[in-house]
Amino acid sequence: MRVVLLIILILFSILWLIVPWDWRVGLFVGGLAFLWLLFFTSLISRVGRRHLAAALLLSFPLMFAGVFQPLFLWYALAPLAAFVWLVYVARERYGWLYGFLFVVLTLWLHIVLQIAADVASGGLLTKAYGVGLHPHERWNIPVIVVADAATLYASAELIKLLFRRFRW
Amino acid sequence: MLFLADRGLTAALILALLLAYASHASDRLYVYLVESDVELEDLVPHVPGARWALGEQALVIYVPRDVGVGVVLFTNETVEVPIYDRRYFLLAVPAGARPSNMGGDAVLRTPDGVLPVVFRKPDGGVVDMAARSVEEALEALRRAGYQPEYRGRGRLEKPGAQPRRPENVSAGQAQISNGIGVLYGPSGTLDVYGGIYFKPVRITSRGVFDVPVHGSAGSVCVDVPNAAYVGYKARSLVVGVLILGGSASGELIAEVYQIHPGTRTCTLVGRRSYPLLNKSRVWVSGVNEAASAGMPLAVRLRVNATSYTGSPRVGANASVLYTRVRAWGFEVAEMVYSIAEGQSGTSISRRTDRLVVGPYTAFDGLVAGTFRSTVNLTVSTDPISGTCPDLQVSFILNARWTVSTKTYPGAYDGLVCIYRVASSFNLDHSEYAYAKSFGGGLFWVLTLRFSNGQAPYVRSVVPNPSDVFRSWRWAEQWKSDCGSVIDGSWKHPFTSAVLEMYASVTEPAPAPSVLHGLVTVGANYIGDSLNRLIVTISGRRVSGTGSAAYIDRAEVYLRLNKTVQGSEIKSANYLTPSGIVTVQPPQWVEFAQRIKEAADFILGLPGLGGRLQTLLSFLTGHGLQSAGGSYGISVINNYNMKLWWIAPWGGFTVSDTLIFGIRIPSTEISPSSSTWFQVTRYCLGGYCYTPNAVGYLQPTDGTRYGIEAELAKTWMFREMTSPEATYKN
Repeated sequence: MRVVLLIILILFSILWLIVPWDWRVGLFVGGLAFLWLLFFTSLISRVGRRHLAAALLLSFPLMFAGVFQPLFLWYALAPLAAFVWLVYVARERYGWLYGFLFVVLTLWLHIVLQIAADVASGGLLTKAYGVGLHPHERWNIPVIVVADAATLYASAELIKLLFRRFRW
Repeated sequence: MLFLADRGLTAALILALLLAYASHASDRLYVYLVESDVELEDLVPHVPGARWALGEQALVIYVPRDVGVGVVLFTNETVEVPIYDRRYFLLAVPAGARPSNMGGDAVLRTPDGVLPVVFRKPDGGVVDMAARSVEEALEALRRAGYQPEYRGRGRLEKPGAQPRRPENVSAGQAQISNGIGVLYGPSGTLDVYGGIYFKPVRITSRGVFDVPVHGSAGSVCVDVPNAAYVGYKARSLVVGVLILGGSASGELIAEVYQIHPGTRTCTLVGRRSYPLLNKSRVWVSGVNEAASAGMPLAVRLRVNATSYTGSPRVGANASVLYTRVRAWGFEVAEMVYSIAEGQSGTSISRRTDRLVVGPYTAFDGLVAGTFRSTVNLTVSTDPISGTCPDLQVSFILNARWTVSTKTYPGAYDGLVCIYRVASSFNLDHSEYAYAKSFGGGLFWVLTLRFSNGQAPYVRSVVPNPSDVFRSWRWAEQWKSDCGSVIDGSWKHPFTSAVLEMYASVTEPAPAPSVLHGLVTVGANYIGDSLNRLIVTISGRRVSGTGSAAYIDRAEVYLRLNKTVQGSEIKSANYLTPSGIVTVQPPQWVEFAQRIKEAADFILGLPGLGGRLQTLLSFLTGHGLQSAGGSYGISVINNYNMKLWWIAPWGGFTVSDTLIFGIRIPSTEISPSSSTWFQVTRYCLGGYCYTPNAVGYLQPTDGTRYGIEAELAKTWMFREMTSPEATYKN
């Protein structure tokens, strides 16, 4: 499942090359956020209907902010809400404390791995992140998605291994 | 008694004049379709000894030599393109004009005999007319009260006339240097062409109507309504008349005033009436060097309609020739009209013998002798029997002046013949002045013909990047030779370098789209150091279906002769029809950005809010930032910087035009010297061009300036017509 989601996430990111620079940017951002949340969820547990519904709920406002402006508030709150939701999902498997630790450690490690990848690639990721969302320079998003998703996958598996070793 | 006799004499004289006018009004005219040895400009043919409403003048009426369907590059539209020729026109002369014994500059051979011709400024004021056909011309003359009769073809022969060559750039013009800080461009005394603009006036009854001045500034005279500012040192003024939505006949009355600069009261110095003729140009004789040397002039136009049909609108604009002296260096700048880099081309796929490139706006201030053009297209056509015959291309400026005809060999690539149609020209100012008289633009018509005479089946045309037009311009209407100080008018903002660009955006498609952009870089009021340099950026994509979209990104690269360190954008505005609107994210986006700062603080604890982010934080953070748009200055090195702007994706762009005010600290440190700048490159919506266009900013030291000699701004750009207009945040 997680591999399928990883592939879908990367394939979806390639759409960025053709998304028009208008409200449909929001549609893309929301879509990518939805897939990323599902992917992260799949790294913690089996993806069920409620996970699907929660990911949709968390990403839906991002999609249509360009059409209905108050939804832009969700751009500020979505990362926090997603973090809380991911901790909640992890709690079901590890309990509150270890669930929280699992999410935080996974994220930290994936950042460390990205730094390593950045150094190894001669600063490619720094460059990609630096471009941001740009109407004409579009190469960076698929690169960021590949790097982020791959390191997140590796990081979650490593943390899981670590947890198995020291907790169980 | 003497008094009475005097009055009687006056009455008799008036009666005689009225009778003369009445008899002129029903003049019988012989009209000839003339091939001429000489290209006509402002000096028009006169027949010595002839007498009619226009004096000895023969009325020139241009008619198309050829009408055909052409393709407009970029938009791929097909339009009817009439091609005129300055050697091909109708000449109307009074019937039965007898040749005098006076020798002339040329002779007119007609079926009715041979007439001597001399060339001079028009006696009757009407420089020329234009009509779509001989019939239309005759009808226009009839409507004006004459009795024209077409008598056949004629020939205007001038012994020793040479085929006309484009003007070469004369000595003393372009002083080009590679060193930074050296003055570029024309120097000394310059012939400068500018424009005056009026709003069309609707004729609703018989009688006299004032033609209102365009723009928000209104009349320049406090005691005369609808007077347009002409200014100092104006050598000639030519008004173009266009009648739309009906027909009208009568008179065009031009009143010339001298303006008293202190009080802005005006004194009438000349009034003259001219026949009101559609598509005619009228030379207003009251505007001349002597009248405008010491005091600025103004002109009021009035229409006296004696009859009309439909609901006609009479439009009038004017071109003015000024004498200007480049005394301080900063008074000139370049205008560059271009085709952008990196285009895939326009699919034509039809048999066509003419292509239209343009139109470009004819900005005010052209300096005569510096007008150039480069046309660079790659044309692919179907071969004829597997071979590529030579392609003969005529370059016709504004479909009126055949500047050159050249032959290009083709290269067969197995499918199509490829022709590299590339040429550069030095152009004279005549067509520019003609276009300005009617408030029109500049364009090329290229006629294509194989060596066997056939029109080619054109597959596609790739427009290659080039300066389609390029010239120096006087950066504002103000003069600058007023002794040891600079004319105070130059303290005010002025538009300096202007750059216009076309690009065909789409691949060959049924409804292609065109990107049309404009960048101006100019000086602000000397007192506003925070907004020293003003850059305006306009751009939109118009699709073949007519829908328009604003560009999503722009970049302007600037090079200065002073350090650009510390430069920053101090104001960013949209120019809208209702005024200037600050560029800022909409309320909800701004609110969300503030909340995000708080949320990031919380997320910072688990390491999610920093520079290294998760994908979700990155997407939402940059999504929110780019939703409101962004802009800035990037200093590249000591002398180079880049102004950039990215449109908001949330649909919050309110106008196609942005105005940025840029602070440059180095201009505050050395305020007594002018600043040289160069627009090295610019990109609009991803389409770029490298114009290397030069402009200048005036010194900011107020003590260098004298009194303001002039009162009103006439180099008009987007309604900014008032000298008081400063760009404020």
